[in-house]
Formats: sequence, structure tokens, C-alpha cells
Amino acid sequence: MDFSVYGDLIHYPFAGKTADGGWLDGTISADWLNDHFGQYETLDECIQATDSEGLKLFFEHLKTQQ
Amino acid sequence: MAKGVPILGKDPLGKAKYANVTESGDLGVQLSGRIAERLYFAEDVTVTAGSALQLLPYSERLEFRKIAVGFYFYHSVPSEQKYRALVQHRVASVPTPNSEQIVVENIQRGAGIVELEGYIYSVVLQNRSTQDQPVRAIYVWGVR
Repeated sequence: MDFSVYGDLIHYPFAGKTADGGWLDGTISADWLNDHFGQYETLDECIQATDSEGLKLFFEHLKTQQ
Repeated sequence: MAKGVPILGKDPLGKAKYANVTESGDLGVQLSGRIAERLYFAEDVTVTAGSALQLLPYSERLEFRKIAVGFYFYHSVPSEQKYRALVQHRVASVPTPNSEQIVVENIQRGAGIVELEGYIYSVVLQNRSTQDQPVRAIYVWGVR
């Protein structure tokens, strides 16, 4: 996958999580995503490849934009 | 005849101090020392893998000369996990920062401080590892 199609710096609504379960805003870079998840073909594969709750939600969020 | 009106007040230590209002009504007060203001504080936050968690959104803050950021983990984190606090500057409404200043980087706990290069900036905490990371506390101070 090439995450650069979403821009250099992508809005990341799951950048952090508070103790009461609320999500915090931030950004994520396309370069970081390409470095760690660029080898996968689909967003579903990216979801399978991470343990991060926020990243899983983020990839699901990107699926709605495809 | 007096050229102004004296005003009796107290300094921060409670000692009596006089100031003077001029004929034109101006009151001059000389401030000294470092004045800091806490701009952000959060406890028990998990910073998601890969994220730049926004601590302060972009805004024009003319009043501060320096920004200090600290973050403290619950446990020691593996050395391969990379964390850093950044001040990101930008010009007008351009979404991508045109420069970044690293405030503190790759330490288990502690704080850093930078002299600001501009007045339109945001402050973020980056987790450049692939693991979500619980953080005990994060704070940002502005120094006038």
C-alpha cells in the first residue's frame, strides 16, 4: 500500500486515548505508515498486522474513504 | 507640585512598594524574573503507535518566548521505542509544518525546553514505535 495518497501528514483521530476511553486528535505521517505497513496489499492486512487499537481503528477509518 | 500620583502596593514577598501614575495617567510597572504558565496537562493517556498526539493546537501565541514539555512513562520503555516532543511551526493556514523543533527526545522521563522560532505553532508528542504506549503524565509550559 502507498499511504502517500492520503497526504504527507494524515489526520489521526485515534492518536491517543484517555483513561475514560475517549480518543484524542493528532496526525500520522505517510512516511511512517509506508515504512511499517507499506509491504501490505490491503488495509485488512494492515489491521491483522498490528496490535495497536488506535491503528486498527485508523485503518478501518481509511477503508471508509476508499 | 507633584508630577504624578504615588500608589502603595506590595511586591510578591509582601514588602511595601510604591509605583507612580504620571500626569498623563500612565502607570509603569517593571516585571522581572521568569514567568511560566501551564498550557497543557494530562494524566494516564495512551499514545497510539505512529501518532503525533496534539497537545496544543496551532495558534498564534505572541506571549511566550520558550516552550517546555515533559512526559513520564509508567514503566521503562524499550530503547528501540522512540518518543519525542516537538514544536511544529507553520506559516498562515498551510496544514503541513514548515519547521520543527525537538523539545525532548528518547528519554524515559524528564523535560526539555526550546526558544521559540516563531509565534504560530502547535506542540505534539510523537510515538514513533509500533506499540501503543501508556504515559503517566504529559505537560506543556509556556515561558514569557
